[in-house]
This record gives sequence, C-alpha cells and structure tokens, in this order.
Amino acid sequence: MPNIIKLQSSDEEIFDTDIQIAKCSGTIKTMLEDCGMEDDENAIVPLPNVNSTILRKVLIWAHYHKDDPQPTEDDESKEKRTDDIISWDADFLKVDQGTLFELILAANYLDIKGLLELTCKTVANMIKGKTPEEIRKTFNIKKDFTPAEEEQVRKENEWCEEK
Amino acid sequence: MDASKVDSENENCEATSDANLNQLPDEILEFIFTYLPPYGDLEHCSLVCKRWHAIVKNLVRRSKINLEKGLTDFRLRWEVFSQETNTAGAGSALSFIAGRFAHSAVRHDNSMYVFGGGSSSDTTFNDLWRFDLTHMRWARPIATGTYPSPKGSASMVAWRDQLVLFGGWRYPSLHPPYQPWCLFDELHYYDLGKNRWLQRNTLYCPPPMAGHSATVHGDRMVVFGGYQIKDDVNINSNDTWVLDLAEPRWWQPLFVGNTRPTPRYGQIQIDLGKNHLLVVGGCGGANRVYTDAWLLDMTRDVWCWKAINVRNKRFGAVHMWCNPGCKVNNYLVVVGPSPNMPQDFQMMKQSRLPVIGGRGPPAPNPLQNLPQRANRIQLPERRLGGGVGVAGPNRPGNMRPGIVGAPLGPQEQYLANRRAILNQHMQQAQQFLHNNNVNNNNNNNYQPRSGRLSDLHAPPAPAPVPAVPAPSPPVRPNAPPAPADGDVDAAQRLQRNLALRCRDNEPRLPKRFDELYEDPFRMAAFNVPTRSRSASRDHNERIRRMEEKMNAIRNSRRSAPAAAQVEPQPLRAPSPKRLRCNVQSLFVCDISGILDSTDPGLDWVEYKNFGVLKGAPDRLILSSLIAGNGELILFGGVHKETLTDITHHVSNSIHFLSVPRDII
Repeated sequence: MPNIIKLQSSDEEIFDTDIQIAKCSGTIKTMLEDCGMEDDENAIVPLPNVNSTILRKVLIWAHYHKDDPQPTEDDESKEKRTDDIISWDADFLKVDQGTLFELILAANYLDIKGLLELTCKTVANMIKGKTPEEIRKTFNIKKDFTPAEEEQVRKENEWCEEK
Repeated sequence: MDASKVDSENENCEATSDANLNQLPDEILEFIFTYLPPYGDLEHCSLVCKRWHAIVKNLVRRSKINLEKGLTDFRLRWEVFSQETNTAGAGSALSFIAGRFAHSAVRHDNSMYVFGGGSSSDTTFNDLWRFDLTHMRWARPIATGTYPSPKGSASMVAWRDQLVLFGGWRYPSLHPPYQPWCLFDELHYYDLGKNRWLQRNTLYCPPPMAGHSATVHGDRMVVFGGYQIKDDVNINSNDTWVLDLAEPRWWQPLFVGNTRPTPRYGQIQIDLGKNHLLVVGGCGGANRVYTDAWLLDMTRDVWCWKAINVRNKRFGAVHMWCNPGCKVNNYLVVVGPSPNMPQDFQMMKQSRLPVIGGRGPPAPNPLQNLPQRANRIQLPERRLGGGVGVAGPNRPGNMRPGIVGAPLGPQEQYLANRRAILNQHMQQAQQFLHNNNVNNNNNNNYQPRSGRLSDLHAPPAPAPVPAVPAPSPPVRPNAPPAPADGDVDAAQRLQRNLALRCRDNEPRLPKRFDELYEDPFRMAAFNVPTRSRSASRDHNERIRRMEEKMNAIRNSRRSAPAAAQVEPQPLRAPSPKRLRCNVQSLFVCDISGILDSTDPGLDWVEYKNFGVLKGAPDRLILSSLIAGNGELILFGGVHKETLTDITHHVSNSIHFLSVPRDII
C-alpha cells in the first residue's frame, strides 16, 4: 500500500506525500488519527495556514530528516547550544527572513519540533553578539523607547529582583 | 535530497513574503530567546523595543521559577564547560584558566571572576581571571598595580565596580622545611574599570586568616570566622569583622549577649539583604564539622547572633566546610558528596594506606613529605622557639612567614611537640565546648574529620609516629610533573598527592569508620599488606592500569615494578559502582522562613536520587559555586576520583547546573 496522503496548502495546491513523512507533523498526525483518515486514500488534509512555497520547503526538510530519531518527551540532552546545526540544515535555511519566519510559523502550526528548534536557533544565532541597535537594524524593528525608558530598562536587573 | 535541489528550492522562496520577526507570536519569540545566553545577549534583546522587553521580562521570570522548581524537584542537569568541550569557534587560540581549588570566585555583571587558589603542585596562584558568561570564554585581564600574594581560601566579594579580596593562605615554601602555612591579612581592591589592583592597608585590621566568609551589605563587608594563628597557635575564629568599604576602615561590632557561633572556618555565608546574613556549616577542628545555622541581625547598633532551627537535617549537606554553597532566591544550594557513600569512603580510606606502605622501604624520599607537612602545622611551638616576633599582623608583606624552624632535630622533640600540641588542642576544644555553651553539641553536627587547613588536628591517633623515619633532606620543591625526572620525582609526586588526599579525604570518612582509622604513618612503617576487604575481582585489570600509569610517568623502572606490585593490589581503581556514585550531589535548603520572627528556620528539601543529577561532575572539593542567571555555576576544585592517579586532578572545568529545556 503506497501510503500516500494529499496535503492541501492555503493556495490550494495539492501535495502527494508519504504518510510517514507527513506524520512528522504532530498536527497532521493527530488529524489523521483522530479523523480516521489513514485508510482513506483520497482524503485531503487541508492546511489553511501554510502556503505552497512554505509547505514545499517543510516537506523537503521532513523528507531529509525522516529517519531522525523521534525526540522523546523528556529528552534532556537538548542543549542550549545553537552551534550544532548540521550543514544541510544550514544550507536549507539560507533563505530570506520572510521565508524563515514563515517556516517558523509553519513549524509551530504543524507542530514539527525539529524544524521549530532549527529555525528558532537560526534566528537566535542572528541575534547573538549584536547590540540592540544592530538587532533592530537586522530585523527592521522600530525602536519605541524614549531615552528615559531606555535608561530605565538598562538599570533593571530582573534576575536579581526577588519575587 | 541533494544540495542543488535545496538551492533551487531556496531560490524559489526568495522574496515570497514581507514577514517581519515581530509578526511572530510572543511564545515563539520567547522560545527563540531561550536559545540566547541569558546574559549580555538577552539584555540587548530587552533593549530592542518595548515588546521584546516585555518578552524578556517574562522569560526571566519564568527561568527563575523554573530554576526554583527544578531545585525543589531535583529536576536539573549538569553541563560541563571545559578545555576539551570548548570547541566552539576559535577555541584553541584562547587562553584557558589553569586548574585550581580553594580559589575565590565572585560574579559581577555578566562575568565570573576567579582569583588565586591552590594548584596541582603545592603552589598557590595570584592570577585573576574573568569568565565571560555571555560568550562563554576565559580571559585574563592584564592588571596593573600591586598584586596580591599568591593565596587560596581568600574571600572575594564584588562591591560597586570593584572586587575586594581579603585574607587567605599559601603553602609554606619547602625550604627550609617545617614552616607552618602562611596566612594573610592583605586587603586588596581590584578596580574592574581600570584593571588595577590596589592594596588597602589599614592600621587596625583583622588578624591574618583563611577560610573565613564574607558578604557585602550596602557599603560594608562583614567577615566572620576563619582559620587563624594567634599567639603562634592555630585556632579557629568566631569573630566578626566589618570593613567600611568606601574608606576602608575595619571595626568590630558589639553584640547582644554572648551567643555566637562556635569558632569555625570554611562555612557558607550568604547575604539576606542589607541587615541580615546567614552562616551555615563550617568546620571547627577535629571531628567537628557543623551543620548548624546562624543568623546575624545587623539591624541595630548592637548586633545579634541567633541560632536557627535546622529542619529535615537528614536531607542536608554534611560537609559544608569544603564544599561550596550559594543562594538562589529563597534557597540555599550546596554541592557536595552524595549522602549514600559508605562504600566509597571505604575504598578511599583503603587506597590511601597501601600507597605509603608500598612506598616505604624502597623510597625514602616520599616519606618525608607527610611528616613535613604535618609539622608545618602541627608544631606551632617550634615557631615560638624560632623567636621570630610575629605577634601582630606584619605590615609590609602582610604575611606571617612561619618561623623558619631549625631543621627538625631528633624525633623525640618532634614527638614531644606534637603531643603537646595535641593536648593543647584537646583542651582548647574542651574549652570551646565549655565556654560557648555550645548550641550544637548535638552529635549530628560532628563528623570525624581532619581538615585541609587543620592538619593540626588531623591525626587522631598520633602514637605511631615513632615509626616514621627521620625526614630526609628536602626534596626538590614543586617539581612540575616532569617525566624525565625519573622515579624519585614520580614517587615524590605520588607522595605529595597522597598528602593532599589524606588531608582532603579524611573529613569524609563517616563516623562509623572512625574506629578503623589508622594513622598512615604507621602503615608506612609497617608496610602492612592487609586490607583484604578491598581486594576485589578486577584485580588484574587494576594492576594493569596502575602499571600503565606508572610506566607512562617514569623512565626508570627500577622501583616501578615493585611499586606496581605492592600498591595496586589493595588500592586499584574504583569499582564501576563507585564510579557511578562518586559524583557531586545537590542539596537544597529552603531559607524563606529564616526571617520569620516566630519560628525562624531552615528546611532541607528532601532530595531525590540522593541529589545526584544527570551529568553530575565527579566529586570535587574546594570548588566554588556562584549563582548565574537561571543557572548555578560550579568551578574548579580538587577531584575526589583520582586517588589512584599519579597526579591529583585539579579541575579547571565549569559545570553549569540548569533546568532542562522545556518545550513550548
């Protein structure tokens, strides 16, 4: 049995996808299981929050990582480090910021833990080592502090304040 | 999926949207921020815009709660940062701090500063290092000014933009032999902005001391206890000294009544705001390791010590004199040996003895190190005889050079002195007990021990000393591990390590081994090959490994086989079980009720898995523990797992204790 399901992107493109690959998405997995769609060859899974471009990328990523061990629930070996991105992933994420953020949203919506971590680490790496001004410039964020407010924030040390 | 395809896909994705990072929901931004080091980068994020500021604030709050929760649930894990793991970036080119123990460590802003401490070769450092927590790297600031002396167990606190370093000890020089440990009353300020050491001597100041504790309260530094030499006798102190940091000016507060902690050193002192501090544990000399707690109330002009109830003591840390602790919000966290270690203690004790035994006849040299070390401390009278007047603090050098004892003469004198001192100390101890109306004469507080700093008290059974051959002429001092030097040096090193281990391990012998205690000197003399208890199954493997080590270190093998045959048998390497459990445990104490006016008390939190957490470092003592952001930072120390190695391992690793990542 081919085990192919159809995923439909927000712009109504249909992706024929190996069910095992699709199931790396917790959202799709739940949908399939809850709705009993697994046996229905013609079932179409609508993904209204993901456009075809992004979905294509997500599926490429999922295909490459389909043999990765599933992260267990209490996997404590995940470190805070962000320098452990493999080169395929690094190449995969050589995209414009818009795509990157959409991938984050898609990974979040589809509940793909590995991809979410990867993309968030990538953004974290873009933030690291930058001054506030550089961060604003990198991400085109508008500074909305008054100088007084900024000074106040500088003085704060949340870590030291007792609850 | 090959790269070209990816690339083509990437091209397809170009310019598809105008998404902005701020379009991501708060949770995802917060998740992204969790990947940032919680120091400089996170601070920068909070300065980007209001939204980011709020998110960071939230993240910080959550991290703090998670850490507290992790502490009470014992759901934390250790991560190591060491020279080996430091592979990130240009790692190899960067400088890395040398291993050390009994160093001073303090956090200031996003850095941990480390000063001095003892090295692996009976010397002390006076270098200052900065560990940048944001970038996770060591740097040694190029400091100007008057450097402090090399020393360990000094107190270092951060005040404004300065570090304040006081007291400490260093090993006596090996020539001439038989000097006591040197204690310091030096006071130094280190200006972090100017990278400059400034010595701040005052006319009136505390006596030289080490192992005291200090905290900053406003513009005051409060110093308590410590190991001192008064009237040429080694004592522990329960004095409180205050330094007005701005001037600087030392003074001693007045106290209500006579209640105060018994004299001690190595205690943990934590600050509880401007007007209170807490002293926990410490060591008061032979067989006296404290687990009590004292609150110092500095609210009024006349200060007041108050003994604090310690509840749930069976879950408490017991070696709070050579193990570090620090405060995390409402908790006191102590890192120390696991509470379920009897087998381990046993192994240690046994392994120690045969080493000497094996060494005895063939290598006269090594023997001298132990007695010598003992002498340094154990013969204060000798210093009287030497007649160097050091009654008051010595100004310029500030250290009290121990008297250069006339070379140790006949053993009779040695013995007589030793007995005299032991007697004297017994009396002193009794007096302490008597005079102070001790609050803690509850036996729980006592652990058989002999301290690193208190070798004075060390051997409970001094009788066997006569068996020790007269010390031979001084060995080459501090020969760095130089394999080429052959077996004499190797033996010497071994002996030195042994000496250190003896000092450090005995405190850990649980009470029930007390009766089994045998003076190593005696073992040395009689070369007792017994201790069959420890002879265990993987005997041959042990011998093999020992041999490997020995061979790697020495060129000459004349004495190597002999040593390898005699030593390894009873002492060889740890059983797997021991390895597994011989790690640092975590002890957590709820101190939120400490200022409760009706029933002030500490509550030790019931540990799980004996406080052993995933990734726990090998057992270390005399390391430092400071609170980072949402994590605890353990640095340095002497490994307890290296009894059978030729050189003892002094750590230069940092161990971070933090909460495992949570998934959003």
